[in-house]
Amino acid sequence: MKLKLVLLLSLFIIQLAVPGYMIFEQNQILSEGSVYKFKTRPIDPYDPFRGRYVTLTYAVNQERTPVLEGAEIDSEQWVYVLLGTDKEGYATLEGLTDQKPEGEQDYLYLETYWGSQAEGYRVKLPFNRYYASEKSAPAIETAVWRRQRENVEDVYAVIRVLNGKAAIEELMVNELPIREYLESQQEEAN
Amino acid sequence: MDTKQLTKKQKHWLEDESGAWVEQGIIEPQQQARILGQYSTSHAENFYSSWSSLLLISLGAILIGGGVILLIAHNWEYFGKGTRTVLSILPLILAQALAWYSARYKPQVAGLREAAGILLFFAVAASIALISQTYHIYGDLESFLFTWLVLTIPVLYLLGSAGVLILICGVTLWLCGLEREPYWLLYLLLLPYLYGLYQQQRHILFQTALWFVVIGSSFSIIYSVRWNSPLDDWMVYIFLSLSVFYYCLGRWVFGFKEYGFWSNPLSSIGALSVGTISLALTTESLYRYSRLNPEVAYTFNDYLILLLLVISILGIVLFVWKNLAQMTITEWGVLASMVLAIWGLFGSQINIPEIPFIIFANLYVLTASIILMWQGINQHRLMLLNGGLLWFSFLVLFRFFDSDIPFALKGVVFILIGSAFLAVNIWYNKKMKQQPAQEEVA
Repeated sequence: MKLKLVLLLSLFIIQLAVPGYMIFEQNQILSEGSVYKFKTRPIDPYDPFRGRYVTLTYAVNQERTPVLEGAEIDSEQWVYVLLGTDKEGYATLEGLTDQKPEGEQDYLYLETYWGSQAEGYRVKLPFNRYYASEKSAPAIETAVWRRQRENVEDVYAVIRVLNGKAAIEELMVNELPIREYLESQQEEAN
Repeated sequence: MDTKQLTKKQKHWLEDESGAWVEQGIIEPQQQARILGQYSTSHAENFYSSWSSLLLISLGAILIGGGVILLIAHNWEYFGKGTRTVLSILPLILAQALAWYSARYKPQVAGLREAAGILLFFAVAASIALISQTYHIYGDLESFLFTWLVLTIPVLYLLGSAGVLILICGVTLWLCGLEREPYWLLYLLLLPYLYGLYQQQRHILFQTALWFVVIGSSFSIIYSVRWNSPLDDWMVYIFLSLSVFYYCLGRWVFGFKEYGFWSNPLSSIGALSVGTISLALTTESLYRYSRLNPEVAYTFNDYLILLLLVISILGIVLFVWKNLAQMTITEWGVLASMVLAIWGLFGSQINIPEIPFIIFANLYVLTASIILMWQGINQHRLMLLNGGLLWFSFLVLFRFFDSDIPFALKGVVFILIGSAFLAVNIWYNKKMKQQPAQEEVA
């Protein structure tokens, strides 16, 4: 009986440690990670557990990312992608490698999708979900898509990157966080 | 000495019968008392008396837990990240507190144990999901379900909640449908729990749990082999072999005299699968596409499935070797379907044409179903008789739908089969009624 209770207590600790570690890891990336701006477009789907979210499809992922010299890469393989920025300040994917980068340059650890060694691969950018309430999620999609149709504006996700892992800091429209942007839209409408 | 478990109804019957034996002088009252002392209804009683309240308590636990999460989520956006994080962990801590209270202070109260187990099962998922939502953590459904299972399977052992077993079976089945990975191995982690129930002679719970585990693991194994696996077309034969193995295992575990459909899940599921698969094999086109796909690479799961095939064949051989003396024509009837499995697996690889296979499959179902009906009549087992008749009827119906027979004739066949069912059952019931009368006269 005593052993059972000790084991039960240990299980409780492990059960708490999993969400605890998730929180710790995210906070570490958000506080220490480098900032990148990924141009994006949100679409509004639904997850049975986590509720409403907007799927973020990234402009940078429309093209294939080249394979760096010396690397051998397949479809659906976990690889390192080196990050850079273009002249407008948006993030770019510079190349894929199967060796962990050692220098100062930031990188992401992710899975390739499809493509070829010669022409490069499309990759699965993992930070593709921005959770919002059942009211906000469709509003985000409508607002951003309407805005993009009428006048092409900046819609991007601020991503923090640390040791190959990434976390979404904020979804921005025209330098405004999405929630503030939606509020300003509502005020304009009133 | 351990007492054997009976339901309240069974115990009443035994009390009445043994009372009558005492009155007739067949046994002494002391002997009656000793016989009755061999049986107890405690586990079975506990199971039944608390079953309805357990169900209600469990449902209540799920609804309350879900409701609290929904209420929080409603105002979610207005809370800061810190508040949201605390609120995400809260359901888990509350469920853990209830589980601790149940295990530490009320280990005998089944209702509380079930409610705490189920609540904890869902609270783990809720906490991970809410944290993911707060931090926009990516992560696919597969890793989410896997983490959930790993964190909750120990609950089954430490709290002993049967409801959690059913939920684990369900979530594992879901997980197996997602990827070509051997997640069905998770069912192995449930075996010690089942063995514990078997040893404690908690028959009803053991049988119920086994039904869920056998059905869940079977579907999970099938799901794990997807269209892009080299084994895709072999799966029907592999599963046929596995079904025969289940059948043999059921005979082994529960004995050759255990006839009840519900009380021997292994044999019942095995026999049902053999019936269904062998019927499917009587049709065209399945055998034609039985080749291994050489263009697709084998994954770890595919190798494991092949290992499972080898284990099932070896298990069947071992069963026959050890139980040869006890085997009746019914067991041989089920075992004969292994010819179909082996022929299907290797026949098309060495270019044996389709027609002989289909003829053999049809002959097998025809012969085996007639044997089953005959055994049903001989052993006075109506279920076996009807099972054989159903199997036979499906074979006839399948053949009629294959061919270009006019609708009117198909209609007549339906009527004939329906009448056969009615006639056989009426005849059988009459025969059963006449038998005691004849015995009394004799």
